[in-house]
Amino acid sequence: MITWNFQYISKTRLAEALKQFSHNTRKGDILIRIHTAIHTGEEAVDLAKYIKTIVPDAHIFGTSTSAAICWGRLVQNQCIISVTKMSGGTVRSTLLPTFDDSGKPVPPEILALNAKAVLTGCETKMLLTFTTRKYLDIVKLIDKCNEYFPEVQMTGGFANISNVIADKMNTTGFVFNENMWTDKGLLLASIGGSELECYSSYATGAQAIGAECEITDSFGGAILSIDNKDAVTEYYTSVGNDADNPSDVTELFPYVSSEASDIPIFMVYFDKTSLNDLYGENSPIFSTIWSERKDLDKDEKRKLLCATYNLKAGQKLRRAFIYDRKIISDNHALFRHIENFEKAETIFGYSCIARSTIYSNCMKWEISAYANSNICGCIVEGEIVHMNGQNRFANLSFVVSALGEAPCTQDYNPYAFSHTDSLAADNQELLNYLYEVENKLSLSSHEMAADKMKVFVRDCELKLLYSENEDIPNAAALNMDVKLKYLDRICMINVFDINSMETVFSKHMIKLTYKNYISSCANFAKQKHYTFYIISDWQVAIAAPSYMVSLAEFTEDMEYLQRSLFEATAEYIAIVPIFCVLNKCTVDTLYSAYYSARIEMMQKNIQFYVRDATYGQLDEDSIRERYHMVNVINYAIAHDKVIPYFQGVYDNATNSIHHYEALMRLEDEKGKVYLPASFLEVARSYGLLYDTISKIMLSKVFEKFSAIEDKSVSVNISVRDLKNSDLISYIYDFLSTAKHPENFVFEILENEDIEDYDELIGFVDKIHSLGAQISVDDFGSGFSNLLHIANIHSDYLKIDGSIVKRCCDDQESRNLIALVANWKELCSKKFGIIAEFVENDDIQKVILNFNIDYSQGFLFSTPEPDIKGL
Amino acid sequence: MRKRKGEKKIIGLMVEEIISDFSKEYIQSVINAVRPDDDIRLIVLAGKYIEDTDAFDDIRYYKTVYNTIFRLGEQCHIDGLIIHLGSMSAEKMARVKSRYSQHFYDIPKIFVGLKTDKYTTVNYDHASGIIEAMDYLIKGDGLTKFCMLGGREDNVDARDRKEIFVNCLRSNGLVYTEDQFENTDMSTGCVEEATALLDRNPGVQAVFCVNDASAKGLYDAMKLKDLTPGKDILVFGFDNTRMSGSLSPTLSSIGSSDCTLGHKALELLLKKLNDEEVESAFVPTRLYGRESLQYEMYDYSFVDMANADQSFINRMFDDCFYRYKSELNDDRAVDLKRLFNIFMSKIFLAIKKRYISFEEYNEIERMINKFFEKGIMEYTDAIKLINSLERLQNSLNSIQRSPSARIIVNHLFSVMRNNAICSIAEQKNIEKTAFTQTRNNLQEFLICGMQSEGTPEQNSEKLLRMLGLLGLQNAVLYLYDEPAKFDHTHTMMFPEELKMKCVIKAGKLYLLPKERQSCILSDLFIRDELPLKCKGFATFIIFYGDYIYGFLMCELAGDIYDRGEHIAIQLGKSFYINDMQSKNIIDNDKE
Repeated sequence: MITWNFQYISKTRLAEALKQFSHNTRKGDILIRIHTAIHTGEEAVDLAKYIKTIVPDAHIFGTSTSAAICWGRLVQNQCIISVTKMSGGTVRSTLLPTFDDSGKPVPPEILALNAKAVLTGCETKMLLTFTTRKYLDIVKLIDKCNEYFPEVQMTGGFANISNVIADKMNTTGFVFNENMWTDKGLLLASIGGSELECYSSYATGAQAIGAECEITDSFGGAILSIDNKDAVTEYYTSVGNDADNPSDVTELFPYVSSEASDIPIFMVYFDKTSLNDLYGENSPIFSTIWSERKDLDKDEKRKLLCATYNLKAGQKLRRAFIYDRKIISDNHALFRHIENFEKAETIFGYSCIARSTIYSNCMKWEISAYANSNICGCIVEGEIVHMNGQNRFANLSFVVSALGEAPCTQDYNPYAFSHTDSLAADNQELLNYLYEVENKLSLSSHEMAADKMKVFVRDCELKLLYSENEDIPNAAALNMDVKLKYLDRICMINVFDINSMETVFSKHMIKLTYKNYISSCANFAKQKHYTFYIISDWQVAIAAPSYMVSLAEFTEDMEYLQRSLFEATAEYIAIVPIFCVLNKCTVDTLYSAYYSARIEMMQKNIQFYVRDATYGQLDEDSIRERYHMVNVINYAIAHDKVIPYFQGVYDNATNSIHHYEALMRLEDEKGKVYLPASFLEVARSYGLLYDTISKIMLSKVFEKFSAIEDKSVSVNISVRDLKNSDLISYIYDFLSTAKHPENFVFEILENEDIEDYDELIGFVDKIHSLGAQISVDDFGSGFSNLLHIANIHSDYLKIDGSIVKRCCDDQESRNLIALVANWKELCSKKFGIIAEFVENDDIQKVILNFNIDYSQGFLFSTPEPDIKGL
Repeated sequence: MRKRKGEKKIIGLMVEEIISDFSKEYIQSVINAVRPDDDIRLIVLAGKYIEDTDAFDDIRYYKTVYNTIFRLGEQCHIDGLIIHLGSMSAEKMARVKSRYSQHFYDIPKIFVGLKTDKYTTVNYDHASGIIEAMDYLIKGDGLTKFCMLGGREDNVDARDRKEIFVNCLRSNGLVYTEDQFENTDMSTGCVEEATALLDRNPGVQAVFCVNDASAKGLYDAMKLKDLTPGKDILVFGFDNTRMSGSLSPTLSSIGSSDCTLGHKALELLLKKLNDEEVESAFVPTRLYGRESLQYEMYDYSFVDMANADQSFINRMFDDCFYRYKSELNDDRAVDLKRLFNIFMSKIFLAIKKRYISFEEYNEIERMINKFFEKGIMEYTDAIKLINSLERLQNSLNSIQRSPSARIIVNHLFSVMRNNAICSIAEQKNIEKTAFTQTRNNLQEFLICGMQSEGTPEQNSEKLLRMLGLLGLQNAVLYLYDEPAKFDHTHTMMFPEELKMKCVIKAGKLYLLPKERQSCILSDLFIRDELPLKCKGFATFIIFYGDYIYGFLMCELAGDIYDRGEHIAIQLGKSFYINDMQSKNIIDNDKE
């Protein structure tokens, strides 16, 4: 068996492709599946006819859909064609009418018998079955099929339709072959053969909870009463919604039938609708069911809850809800089976349209696990699943079937299961709904409903909020408790360096240590009546409300816990848990506070930290100011308003300007000039902005001085600039071609965090080799490593302005200047010393006393955009 | 004076006296207003009230010397002052003011309980509380015969309260004559005046006392006449001090409704220190009903209760624990209001659901125990709380229908009541133990002082060591090398040079080595040796007769308000004796 999928582009392309296919000389039955989201009925039949002319012996199986599944992706607004050629097996197909000439539905028994008549004697193993939503007796039909086709696996469902085509055709979906299309038909394709084996399974993600209830009255698909109470009221109050004014949560909280508790029953809510509106009394489709129920008021406008197929009174239901972890585990189980199936030559996949409405990412994610296989299928409105040797009609499911005649494996994408964050993110909505319900619950006036509801919500939460392996609440639970139980004192505990642990110790040892770590924390928390959460692998949290414990007590307890974890015995690996106690947490501040605290802790290398969650949160004004600054910077970049100003550096020996320092200024649209202090930090935090203005600045300075022979200029270079390879190569390129590279001095800030001194020295050497010069800026402003400074062979050393400024009043400042001056005397390599911020004569006098080479400051020159004489 | 940047702000609290209930609570309210992050050190300078009519006797002399303590406000570094000298008449104020230097005027100040446009002041809005009480009595109960036990003529607040009282009567069409009024010294000892008032007004239905202390006098007077407050005559006081809750029967009293005087004053002073514009403020008052005048500040309606509305629970809390809201909440401490809200909500919910699980019950019980363990009783008086609880319990019982839930809820209420009673008993016990301890300490101190066989130097060191026996937790002792002599002119200034002799930190005594003792007077309150964790200190002058030996600064905590002066006297006396003895030795040697 081979299967080959392609997208329909044009008839010519199609002919080309199919011809290649039929060149394959080996004989065998061919099944061609067409799932189209772009063709109307007539167009589809036309396409099928065309295919039939090219591949005359093919069995064509066509359905409309809203989106096709192909190559592990969801493809919208396309038509996908999948060709399966059998090696020895048989394919038969048939399109049976589901309604008779008078418009009445064909009874399921007869339909099943008709099917049996067509499909006898072809060793059917797999029955691909599609029908349309108009046929409401699908459940019974499948039951009959189970009877007439024992051991046959069925897959398929209700054909769906894309909105565009639905508008054109006014129908709910259709099936077709080369002869006709219909929205009242049953399309069957039997695949059989002695060698053929197949496996079908499904995933839903539904978790049944709570007690059983019973449909006590129904009409068609409409559930009229449950446990003898009005179905709509019963349903909505049971999920915490306002029965008078419900929101649409039927997909999140479906019913399941109690014998198949993971298969949801998809329901639609109608308001102010009569049974007659839904099931027209005059329509022959419904005439039978109307004749059975003369007692009902058919025109009463009411709230209705309807399934897509007939439900019978007496059916037992349970409430359920769908959540991320169940979706993941269901899919994982499904995937494992398909992956391990030996004859996986062809994969069919059908997914329910409603899955995309529950969780936006759900469908894409679950299909992505089959990304490298030849999966082909489409979106449907109801599915047929195979469970425990029986076929069932299902809703809200993802069905996958694998079949083949010879051993074969396909490539899949198991990594999908390690990237499930997108699903968890979707969970937030469900959680939010549950928050709301909890809140409402406390105000609710329906006492009994509130009681039942509370149990329901708690069950949902239990499933949602507990971490996978242990019975410990997870991060979502922490969020919820912060919100609802006012837990505002939270200690985040984390162990870093797990990677290095993994390189040295055995997995078993690590597991043991982990278990001990978790249980120590959990037991301690329990003993102290705190709540314990596992956030992620080694990260846990212990939380307490401020109404039960003071910060001092809480901190003391956490310190004790940290010590006891340190003191763990030799049986375990020694771990260093890092504790961060946050006070006054809210859902909004918790994580941002934790992350910023963690950065601080890493920088300062501290293992225990207490802080207010509100601390360091920006206030509105400063945020606004930041955005304003971003605008200014952007404006300056766009309108060429990054302007270098130049300040002369005065040579104390020759009493003239020796060179200029280029200083960056920005101008806004009103002409206001901004100094670096106001914009540099903002620019740095938006790295690209900083890089851009740096580049503009450099290029302007280079341009201005490239032609000048006798004046040199210095320009600031930050550590970030050194990491910007573009900028650095721009500098190197310029210098290597510059006429007078010696005219350019690069000032490196001393107080920046320089992590990689080798890189810096590399830069300095390169600059020197290119003939330019280096200056160390702001010397004495940080806690200098003097050896580093000495190792940078700078040509100038600029004493920090804060020292120079105070040299008249402050002996210590004078001592520092003396120190630098003496150092210079002792050095073999000569460098020039610059004193900046020389603002008045008094300072200059002091500076001259120390024989400082250059002075820079308002006394000699103010920064100007233009230089006289240039 | 030197500018000090980035260091603790020193805020002086000048009060007339430290021992009265009102002062204690007023000082405490300022302490409570200091947030944990505020870098503030409070210094209490408490004097003695001297009435112009006081005889020139020993006591007056003592008081005069005692009051030189106020000079520290001028001579020491202080960043701001909150001055509450309620009984200071304007002319006396002017007289006192003339004695101070310009420097003193430059210190930012807030005056509490002073009517003047010249300074920023904080005053009670007397009218709101008094009118509430009088309206209730006149319009609600239809009473017509009122009396007032007033204060001193020179007390601004007392005059104010009288005026409002009289206006209330007149505006309600009732007659007022001076017979219905009697002046007192505003202390608990005004039994005589109270008796006179009662004698003059035999059919009186309600008496307004100018403060809680004078109400105590009235209580005593009524007892002599076999009258019961609250039954025979309704009584209400002013200031809503803790005393009002401990009297029997408990005293209804008018007190600040949201923010205390001290809180407001500190708030304004801090603004002033930040160069912000500040305006004089009034602190609104309300009547707090107790046994002597049954009055409910809030109604517990069935509707509220059935809905278990959050705001209703909060109001209930404010009613039961009326002191909590006025004492600044430290966000690092346990949030008792929320705790109350949480467990009350749970109880209400249980009633609504007519069901409470065993786990839930345990949880609530744990919360209630925590609630009391964390000292909620500090914020209420026991009788009032128990009454409120009872009222609530009765209301709850009347609306609930499930017998099983009722039993459990009632049990929870009894847990609360037991806790309340236990914590009162415990408090009483602690007080009693502390009292015995104090007496024993002092006794030991005195006994040790009797034995003096060493050199004068040895003796004085021994004396300092004995300071550790007094049971002070945090304190500093400054002494002059030679005692300063009290100067009868009003320009008396303390000598600049003195010695910091010893420091007590967390109950441990540290004697300072000689070379580190020297200190100048202006640094008295800013020394680094002062225990850092204390929010404030009370300063006591140590003197005996004319001889001023130095100053004792004690942490504002525990019973220092009551004991401080006594300790200072004992110290003064000991130093005096020591001095005399060493002089004798020297004299003997000479002979």
